[in-house]
Amino acid sequence: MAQRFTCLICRNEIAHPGAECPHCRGRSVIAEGASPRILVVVFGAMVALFVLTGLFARSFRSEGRSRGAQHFESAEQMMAQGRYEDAISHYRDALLYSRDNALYRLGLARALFAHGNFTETETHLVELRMEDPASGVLNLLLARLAARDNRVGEAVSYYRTAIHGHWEPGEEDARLGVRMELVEVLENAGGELQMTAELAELADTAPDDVAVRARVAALLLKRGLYDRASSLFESVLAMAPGNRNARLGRAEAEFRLGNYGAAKTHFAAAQALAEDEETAARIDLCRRVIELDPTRRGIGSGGRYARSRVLIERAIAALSHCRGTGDPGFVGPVASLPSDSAATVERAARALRKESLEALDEAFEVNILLAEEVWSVAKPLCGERPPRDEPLRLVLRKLSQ
Amino acid sequence: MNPLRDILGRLDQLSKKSPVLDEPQRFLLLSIVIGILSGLVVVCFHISIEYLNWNTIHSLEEASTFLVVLWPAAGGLAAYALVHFVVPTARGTGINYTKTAVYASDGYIPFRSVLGKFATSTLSIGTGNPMGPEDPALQMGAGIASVLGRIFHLTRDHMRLIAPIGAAAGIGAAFNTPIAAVLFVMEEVVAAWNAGVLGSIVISSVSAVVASRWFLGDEPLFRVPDFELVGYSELPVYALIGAAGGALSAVFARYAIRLRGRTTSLPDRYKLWLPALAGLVVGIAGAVVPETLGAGYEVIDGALHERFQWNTLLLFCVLKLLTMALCFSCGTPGGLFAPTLFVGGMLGGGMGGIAHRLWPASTSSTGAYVLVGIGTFFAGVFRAPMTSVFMVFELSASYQIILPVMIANTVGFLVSRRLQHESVLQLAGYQDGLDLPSAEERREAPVMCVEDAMRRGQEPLVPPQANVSDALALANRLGTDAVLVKIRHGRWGWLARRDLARAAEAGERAKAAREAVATRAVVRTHPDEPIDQALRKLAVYPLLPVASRINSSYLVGTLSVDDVHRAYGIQH
Repeated sequence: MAQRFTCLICRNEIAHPGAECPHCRGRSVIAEGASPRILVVVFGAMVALFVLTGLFARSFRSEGRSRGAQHFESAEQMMAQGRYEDAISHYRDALLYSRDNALYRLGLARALFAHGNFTETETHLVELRMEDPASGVLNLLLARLAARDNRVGEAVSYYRTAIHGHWEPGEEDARLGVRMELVEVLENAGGELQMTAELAELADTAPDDVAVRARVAALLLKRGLYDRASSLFESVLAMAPGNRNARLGRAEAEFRLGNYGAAKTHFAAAQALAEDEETAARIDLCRRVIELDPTRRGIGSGGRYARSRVLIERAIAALSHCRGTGDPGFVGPVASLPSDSAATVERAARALRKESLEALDEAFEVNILLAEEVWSVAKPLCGERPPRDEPLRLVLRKLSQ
Repeated sequence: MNPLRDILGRLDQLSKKSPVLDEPQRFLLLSIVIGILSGLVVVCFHISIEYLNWNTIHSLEEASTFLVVLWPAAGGLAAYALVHFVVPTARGTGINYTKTAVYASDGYIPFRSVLGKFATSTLSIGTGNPMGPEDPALQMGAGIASVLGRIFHLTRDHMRLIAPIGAAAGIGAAFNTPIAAVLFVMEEVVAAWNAGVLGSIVISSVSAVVASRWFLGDEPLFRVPDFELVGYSELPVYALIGAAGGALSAVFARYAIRLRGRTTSLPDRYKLWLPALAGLVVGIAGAVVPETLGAGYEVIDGALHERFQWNTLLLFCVLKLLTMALCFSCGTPGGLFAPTLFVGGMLGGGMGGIAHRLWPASTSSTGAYVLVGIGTFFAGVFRAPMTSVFMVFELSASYQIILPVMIANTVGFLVSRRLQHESVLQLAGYQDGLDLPSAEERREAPVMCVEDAMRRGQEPLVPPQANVSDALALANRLGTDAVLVKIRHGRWGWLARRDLARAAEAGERAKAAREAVATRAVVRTHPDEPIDQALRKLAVYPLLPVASRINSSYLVGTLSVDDVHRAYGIQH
């Protein structure tokens, strides 16, 4: 079909597209008619433009990547030097060239975190986490942010994900550090139960590394898991017998467990490595406890009975001290005892007066019970005052266990 | 047989057959082709801007401030010189240009304007002028569509529709939001919900976005963090942000247009230097606050990620508003899309930041307000509330944010309209001598329906057994050219008065009217039908029965041309 060209202004027909309209002198034209053969040409042009755009885009991406990498490298250097503001600026520039680069964004988040810009850090981290929810490092940073804002529940959740999440090759050891951090957060937040569970798992999974094991054992000791702490310190000492801190830790764990003999041995070993007064005092305390302990092996029935009498004596002395009657310099009012407590003390005094020569074992049991009863009467009277007789307290505690 | 030769032979046959595809098929095919080609061109446009950007304002961080100040001026001057001396068709806003093509030029957009817009906008935006690439992309898409329409020899009706299809492709590819692109074109360019073109617009927009993502990746324009509404108590804050955005857009429209009026009235020798002057101001502002340079998408992204404090955000808002108004008024090539998003986002973030300082427990983070604010100024400037809502929704992909966005953008739109009746683009069009329709105008134009003009009651209806004399008497009394007669349930016929008179003269007065004269069936209308549609029927029938919608056999009234004239106040 022949093409017709029409003036857009007056709608009259004109000769060709470039011609001036004879009626209105306009130059705008449109063509009417139909000719689909151009389809092939248009398709060809489309393919050509596609290829050209592809080449252009490839060059653009490559240039962007290169510029982004340069800025990233500079940012990493700044970060290593602690110049966080400059690092942030370079990370931002790197992202300008490669917006979807998660590594750059993570770098920016780290720098922002280090610089103290926590709000922005969190937005980047949350966004990155949406793409990689199991990333160890992302969850760790988010956990730190949450812990910083006292969002303990959230922090624990992030820490757990970080522990079980994936880490870059060579960074897997960070898991232990994360668990330790979690323990510290739980300790500060008062999450006793969760913390104990975490510590127990920590003890089971601790690697064969002296420093790590010693640190974990110290945490266990601090949290009252003496048995596990002692075992872990033992394993540390097996690897490094000259480790004084481990020796002291083991000694303290044994001491807390009531194994004063073992504790004394380890304290002495530590003292042999390097002397200090505190350790010497601990050794002395252990010695005094051992000397008082009526359950110690090898002292015979007579010895046990004699020590039980000493326990009663010292318990009555402690009571007298707390009441104020045993101290010659005491000027305050003497605390009165309830009738049943007074009866207990009277029975103890009678037991001391009566020295048994037969049935020593039976008398020993009775004496121990009396000593414990007198001690239980003395304790509330002593109140906040420090116990004067520490070996007695330790022995009676051990006996009560 | 050689398969290649076979294919070539078939192609040859195809090219010789005319036409192979009918008009609707070609139109649909064209929509895809337009989408892909526009997408590819917009990808090249985007890359060109970025390249220039990297080699001008972004490569100069360690260079002297002097050069940073000069780049926007140099870019503005070069771009305007190109417009002035080489491609005058690349002047002005792409939206108005495309609308002109739709309403006044039968979809004609010269290809030169596509090339011109590409080059001038690259120079301008790439050197840091605070304009956006979306409006030029829209015009480029429309231009490509127009060229293809001409190549494919579409009819005039289809040529008028082809430019919006390309426009949607251009804006969809530039902004990476296919739904918002479709809505924007329907709201702003077509200015009507034309179902005939909607399908093609959607197809081209999607094709363009696919082409764009193919090369640039499917990374959204902004990486929007996960937001949520803290509580319903913060909705008033969002409404306040909307009101502020709307008021600011009205102020912008009034003063930017006033300034534009003054600059356009200057002699040409001065006009040439205006974009350079505006660029210099932009450069000085950029040397102090680099975030105000360029389209500013990375700054919006930063604001969404809580990078800036509320006072910094407000500073950005003010500086960008001033520089964009200056560039727009001085004719610096580029669009208003990106800077309006920037100003709205910064305003929202600034106000939200203040609210967060005052009521930290019951308000969201600053980023959420930035996201909501993005659409408020846009809705006011472009008067496209639907687009603004869907754009933010598409960007954030968050259902949580949709309620605040709807509130803020609607308030922004209403406040803007209340303070400034016409939009910036409309006013700019008036200054350029264009009187283009807007969706707002069309939406608010009263639509007259049949019920506004019809004669109520069943008077013109004669009983089925009425004789000629009675029917003629009724027609004479009513002064109508015909009377109606019921044929069957819900169907009426009409009897011409002239035929009745002729039958009466022939002595058939007593005869039943339906037997004496021809009864012609008539189509019915309904009270809610627009007068426009009823008039098309009145071109064929002298009188229309107006039937009830709930009981189609019940005659509510009748409608004649005289009734329509009376309703419109036309005196004979």
